[in-house]
Amino acid sequence: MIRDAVTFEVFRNAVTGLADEMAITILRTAHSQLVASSMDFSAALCDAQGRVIAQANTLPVHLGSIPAAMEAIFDEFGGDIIPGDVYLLNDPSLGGMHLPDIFAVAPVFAGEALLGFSVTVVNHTDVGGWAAGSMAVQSTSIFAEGVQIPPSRLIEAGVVNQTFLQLILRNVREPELLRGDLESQLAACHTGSEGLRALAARHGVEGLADLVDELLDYSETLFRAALAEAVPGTYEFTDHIDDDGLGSGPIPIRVKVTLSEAGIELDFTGSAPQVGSALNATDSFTRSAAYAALQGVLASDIPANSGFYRPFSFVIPEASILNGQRPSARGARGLVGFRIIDAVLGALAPVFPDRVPAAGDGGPDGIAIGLVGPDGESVVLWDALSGAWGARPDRDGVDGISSLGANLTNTPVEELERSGHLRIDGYGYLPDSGGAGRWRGGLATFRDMTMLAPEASVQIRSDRRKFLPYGLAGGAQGTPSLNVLDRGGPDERVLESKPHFVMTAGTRHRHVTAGGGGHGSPFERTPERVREDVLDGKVTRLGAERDYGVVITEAGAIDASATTALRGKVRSATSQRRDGSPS
Amino acid sequence: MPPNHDPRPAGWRVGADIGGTFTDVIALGPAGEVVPMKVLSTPLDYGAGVVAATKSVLSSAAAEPAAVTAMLHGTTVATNTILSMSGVRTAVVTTSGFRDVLELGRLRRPVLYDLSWSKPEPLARRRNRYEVGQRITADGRLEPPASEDEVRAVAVRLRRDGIQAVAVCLINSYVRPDEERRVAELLRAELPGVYVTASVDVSPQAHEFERTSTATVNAYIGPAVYGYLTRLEAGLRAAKVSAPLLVMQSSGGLLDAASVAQRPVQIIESGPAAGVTAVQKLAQLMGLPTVVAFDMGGTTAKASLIEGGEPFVAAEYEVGGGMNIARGLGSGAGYPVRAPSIDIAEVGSGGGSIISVDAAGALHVGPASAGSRPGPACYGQGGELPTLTDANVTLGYLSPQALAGGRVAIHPDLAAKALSSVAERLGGDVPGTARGAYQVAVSSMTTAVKAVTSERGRDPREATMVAFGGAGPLYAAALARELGISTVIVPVYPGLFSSLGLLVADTERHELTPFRQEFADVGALAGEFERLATKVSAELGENAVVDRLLDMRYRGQRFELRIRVPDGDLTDDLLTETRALFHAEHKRTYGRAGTDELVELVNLRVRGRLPTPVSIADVLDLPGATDQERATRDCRFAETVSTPVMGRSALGPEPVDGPMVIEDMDATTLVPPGARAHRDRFGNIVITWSAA
Repeated sequence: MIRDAVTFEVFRNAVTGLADEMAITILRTAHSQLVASSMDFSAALCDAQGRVIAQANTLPVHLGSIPAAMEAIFDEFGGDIIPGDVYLLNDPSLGGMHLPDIFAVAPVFAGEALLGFSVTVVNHTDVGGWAAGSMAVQSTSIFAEGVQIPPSRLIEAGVVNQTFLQLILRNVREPELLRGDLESQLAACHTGSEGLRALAARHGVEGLADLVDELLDYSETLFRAALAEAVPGTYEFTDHIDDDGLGSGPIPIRVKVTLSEAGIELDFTGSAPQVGSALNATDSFTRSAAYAALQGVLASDIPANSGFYRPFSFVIPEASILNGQRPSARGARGLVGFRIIDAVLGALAPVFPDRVPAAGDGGPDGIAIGLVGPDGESVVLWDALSGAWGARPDRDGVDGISSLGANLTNTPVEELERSGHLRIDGYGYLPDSGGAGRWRGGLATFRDMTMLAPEASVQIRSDRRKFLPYGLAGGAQGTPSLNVLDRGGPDERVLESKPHFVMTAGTRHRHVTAGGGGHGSPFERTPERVREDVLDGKVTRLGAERDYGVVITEAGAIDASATTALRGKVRSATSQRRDGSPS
Repeated sequence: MPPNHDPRPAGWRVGADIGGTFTDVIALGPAGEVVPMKVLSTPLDYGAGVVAATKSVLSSAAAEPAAVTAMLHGTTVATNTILSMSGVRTAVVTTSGFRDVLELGRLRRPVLYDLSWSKPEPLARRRNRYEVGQRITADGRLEPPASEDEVRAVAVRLRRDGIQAVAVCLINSYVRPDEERRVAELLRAELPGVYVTASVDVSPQAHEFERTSTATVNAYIGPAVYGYLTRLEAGLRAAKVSAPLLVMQSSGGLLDAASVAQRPVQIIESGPAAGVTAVQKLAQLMGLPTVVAFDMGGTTAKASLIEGGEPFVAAEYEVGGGMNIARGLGSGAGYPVRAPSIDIAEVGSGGGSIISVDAAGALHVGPASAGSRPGPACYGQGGELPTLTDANVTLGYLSPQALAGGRVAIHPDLAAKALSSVAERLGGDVPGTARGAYQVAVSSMTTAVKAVTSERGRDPREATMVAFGGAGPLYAAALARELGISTVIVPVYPGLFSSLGLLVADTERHELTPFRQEFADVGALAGEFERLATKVSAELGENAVVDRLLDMRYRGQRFELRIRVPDGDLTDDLLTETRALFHAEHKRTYGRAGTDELVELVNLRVRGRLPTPVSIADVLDLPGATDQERATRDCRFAETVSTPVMGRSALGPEPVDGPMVIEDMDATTLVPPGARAHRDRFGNIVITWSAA
């Protein structure tokens, strides 16, 4: 309950601004391309009980995992948290997600009183292991993936444990990058701590705690009010990951969503058991993905904090793909998070038909290129390739955007080429790749590269090759993702969706992301919209006829009578056509 | 006469600043006369309003149009062209395989959880993006060069498709600008009358999307800006004003109209920059080391920082994306532009911001605004939603009779009525609710000030605040208190301060070249500086002051810090000194310096300044401000207090205890209880808080 609306709003402004301020500190001081350019990091503030107060505008699937990290820190250091400490962790079975995501957490004190914690998560460029970038799908055990950090004190009462730090740095491929990015995390923790202390000075320690309670209650109230608009009931959906990258699949992700007065329950019983490769998520990551899906559906402006999490309950099977057991590998678990979001949204589509979009590209797809530079140094080049959002109930999908669960940027072509190791030959949309519908799904994107380095080891994490992005309300599926080596050359071959391969100088590779699903019947799309897409080359004339039943002349005009005739014919022939749910 | 010729006026200088509602004109005469004028803007042809206001200023001063020696202008024409999407049909010509660079962008969205979000519409549609089969490699080879025949064939298509402006942006053109300029020249020759921009001429830096976006914005607004300036110059000539027309750039310096027509992307933030420039000149005059410029109008509040007499200049920002908080996390909302721009943080709090309550009982102010139509409820123009202005009328801070020198009648009953629904939802009374809205607005504006101070390692408590804009002086003292700032200055003509900035701004030109290497080659660096300095001096004349600047960062970082190279011959020692300045600035800004890390150069910049012949002191030194009878009014603070209301001239050099309300023709200044105020020798109202 808000006791004083003015004090409350002033406080809300302050803590939200403070979390963003932490993120900006990381962004501006980080050293790696992955953090500074792709923005694969997060920041948040927690209270003394480890509850999330506020999170920065960063990475959705990171942010919901913070409560588990805080729990692990309390388990390890609960009675022994002292001013000047900073804790690190990345161990997936002890509060982490996958090894590259290193949490750095600093307790904040005002005198003797513990006020809360500054929390940062950065996806580091490399944390060791057999594969450059430490996120290879093909890892079969966590022991192959890099350095494991259980909840540990990096800094004890202001003194850095150099032995510990050197041990970490000795185990990774680009130690200077890791050190620089870690320092940016420490700087952000400092920013958060200063700000939290200032809030305590203003409101008093107890006043601050009361305001945090109000803020958490506020989010819960807004969330429950939004849930109350839904028809209570149980809604099920199953989506799939094609395979585990080692030849096994498909991997079902099944969810049963129950909406009731008590809140929302997500039961993942029936999802696949854990797999032999590195796709296995953690319980915390599964929750995080579910939170992100609900945030997206219900409203964008409910403050994301532990109050928002309260109405949730979960059934997440042990030793499943959603909650792997040690020593299963985790490096590529991001993919599972994105598919959880797709599954939860699919289940909620009938509940919120005017809000839930068709499925997007299911990504981002990750590409990691490892090579040895001319001076013998290890080089890791990394990029996130994103395509499309699915069509919305009242508008087209978005072309060229990062998925709901991520918010990653691409790396500038000129930045990649400046390394001298590769050339990008093309980067753009593919026509006819957005699922047809009254509202069209977002287009797939392609990226062509030629290797210039003598030899490089390449891993790709992609999916949506067999189980395509679903359409809704009669909209068609999006198109599949694709990897092609030596395209157009004598040795052209199509690679699997999660390949690990070697490229030598002069080899060419094309990656294509999946296209987004469509929404509504394509035959209800206005011919004028189809024509606009044809003029923009987003839909071909052939595609317009085949997918939409709209005839566009060579001069770019709508042939109205031919369109009416064609639509009538096609409609009667495909009246049984179902939506694009995977079969 | 070269375009920048701007002698010390034997004649009149006229500054004209166009806003959404009003066009402000201030003229400064040869004997130090200051003539202000506020007229309604003329949205159908903003230039006509400028000409009319200039005429009437001159006639009221009994000055001849021929006596005008400088016509100085701040304009929203560039911004408006983008906000209203009214630019010409624009094309992009690029390297084969990269047609979609402009539309793909960086794939990021400014909001995390909004599934209905859509990208801004590209300024050049996909059908109007054309490819040429050429390639510049990263190390500058042409594999192959563009064929003239193919470029001519593209020109044929451009003509056929009715294209009026073209942005040419080839991959890696930053390493081979000649190749891109060759393509642009070919197109210019084939397409007379079409506005052609080569990306390297507006943004010669790496990163294909940001460069393409900058060039496309430039091309998209180019014909509109060119047409506007041409019409304005013709109108001025017809009115017998033959003085050169200079336009305020986003970076805070003036530039001649002909150059602006080539690079209109440099004037997008023209209006806000003029206001900051006025504050900069005031800071220099008064010797204030650190100043927060706070500008609050009808829809937004803006903050910027001036340190050592210089504003911070951002290298990149987004136009058309709503709030430009310049913080990096919200990217994706608008169109990125790489052109020097005063770093201004903005929040959606202005006099017209709407006050509301959400489903869970929290109070919000803005970002929705009642705008100028219907405007605040108290204007009686049909607005029913309560705004900050309604709160200020209810609180007694604003006159219950009329604002803007009597031009706007006020209906306090309508203000109270509009606020009563919010009060009911909160379970409070109307005055308490109005006071709460005032406080919430103050708290949200602290975000903007923090973005330009504490987020950059600067302690706001060490700054002086200079407040202007129609609503700035009403909130400044409370905002300063919140931030721990002890002194607030409200200059004369706070509501016309941007146009006043035009009168006193320097003429400025910026040149930059990417220079991505370490400090190895002093000779090459000196040569590049020399080349750019010569270019700038040729344009500005020999009286120009030339500064050398380096954009520097630690290897791997994405953001640079701009460091001024100390004066003197460029030697290894001087570079070592510059590098030390970088470490110090990094430490100051981010709390740490990596003195053993590799520092890399990103860009080399030259800024040429032709100092203004006019001192801001000439403008501030007023022959007495408007007189007004002293009165009292009930004002609600923590409690209701009977508060003196007076004109600026009633305030003397001795500090007087608040509360008081000081009414100028163009703004109202609030001095809360606990603060003190006096008038200094420049006519400023100086509000001080004793240390808490």
